[in-house]
Amino acid sequence: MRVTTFSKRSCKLSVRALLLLTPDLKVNFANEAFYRIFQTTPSETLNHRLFTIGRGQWNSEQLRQVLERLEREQVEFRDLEVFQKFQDIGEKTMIINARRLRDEFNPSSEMILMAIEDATARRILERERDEALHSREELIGIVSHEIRNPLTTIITSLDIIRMTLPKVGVHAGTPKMLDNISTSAHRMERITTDLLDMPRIDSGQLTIRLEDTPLAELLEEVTRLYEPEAQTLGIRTSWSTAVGVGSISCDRDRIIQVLSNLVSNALEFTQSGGQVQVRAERIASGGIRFSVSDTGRGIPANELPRVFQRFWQAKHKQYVGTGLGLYISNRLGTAHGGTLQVSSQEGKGSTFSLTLPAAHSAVRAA
Amino acid sequence: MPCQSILIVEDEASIRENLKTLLELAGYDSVFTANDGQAGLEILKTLPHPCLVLLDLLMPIMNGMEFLEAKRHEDAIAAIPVCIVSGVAQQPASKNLYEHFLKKPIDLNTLLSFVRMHCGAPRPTELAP
Repeated sequence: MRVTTFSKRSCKLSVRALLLLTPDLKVNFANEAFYRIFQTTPSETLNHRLFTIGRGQWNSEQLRQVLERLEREQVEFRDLEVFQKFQDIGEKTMIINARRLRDEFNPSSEMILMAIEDATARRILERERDEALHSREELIGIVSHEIRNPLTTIITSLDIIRMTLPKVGVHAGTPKMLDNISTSAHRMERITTDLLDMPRIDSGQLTIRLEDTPLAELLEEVTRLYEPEAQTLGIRTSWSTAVGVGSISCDRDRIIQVLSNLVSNALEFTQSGGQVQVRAERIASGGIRFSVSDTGRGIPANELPRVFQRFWQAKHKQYVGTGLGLYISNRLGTAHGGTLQVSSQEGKGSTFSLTLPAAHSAVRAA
Repeated sequence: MPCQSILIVEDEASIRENLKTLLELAGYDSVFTANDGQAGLEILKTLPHPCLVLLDLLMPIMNGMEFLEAKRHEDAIAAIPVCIVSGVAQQPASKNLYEHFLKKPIDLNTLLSFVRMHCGAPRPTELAP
């Protein structure tokens, strides 16, 4: 191909940035895509050395080495990925192809044609896709573990009851096994709810339906669900609503879900002989504060800012649970116009407080 | 025949209790339990004639693989057979560290056959097949 006959007009149509460089790397020609992608003008570009364009922003060691090799020995290089931080346009991932072109009528005249693809957006998408795949695999691993454990309890309990029933009747351990079956089934139900909620929360499609709900009723329900488990674990509990706290406008099932989550976490992290306290009280603004306090192992101070992040638990070495509960609880609290907060002291215990405003009118997406 | 003891290392209380109940009902009277690998290691060193360890993998403080690694370096307990009982998707590669792998949810008859293999026949019970 002759440089002199090289069609600069057709280069204009290319979506890739194209540069024609002289052997001393001065820009002889740049197409419109180049000016657009790199936000520069012909006067700043033409007849300037490549490495001085845009106040030296192209002065990449990687690019310099390859172009020097291209001058000396190589005819072309393909698909060189260059990552460069530009002062004006930010970070760019570029895929560069370049070729030395000789004018057949004037062999001493050589040029370098450089085609630059802006792969920044593509690389970001690829990275996001990889992260999504990784997080999906991580989730599958967690769910598999978290579902197999309660399932194992249910199946082994039923197998043992089935084995003992015809031969020795109701065995001394049978009532405990029935309790364990019930607790495990509830745990699986919670995991299932979390998993189904997560995509809805992520896409903003989860709605809350407000109804006037007596606080005593909320606490009674949570007590009913968790008191047996607390007794099994040997953890003392207290469930209290201050006198006259009345009712609150909330999505009953969703608030029970949040409280269940907080209470089951508290039970999980508290040793036998410890204590879990659940309270509901009216605060000065007229809203309601639910608090769940435990005397468990607490959360290290440096972990506290991350507890409401998705999979937080899962990143913990000693994990139990899907790591979705607090993330979802926090989003449900926010959807009510409220807040979920944590305070904790390692070795002493944690308190999670859900504060809901006095009146909350509209049905909102989480 | 000396009284042979079995150790269950499992952090999930209900599974731990069920396995212990099952083994006792099946006629194995000397069953011990630990909530994590580290406690398991300590108990194992003190047990009279341990014949088998039933070991979970994902546990706090010291997990199952760490337990196996530590056990390997303790001459007194290194040779005690181990049956992994875990919900992990993949069987651990280092097979020289354990004898059997049972995936949760577990088949109790298979478990009992492994126990019989290493601990011998149990005391006769009403449940014995």
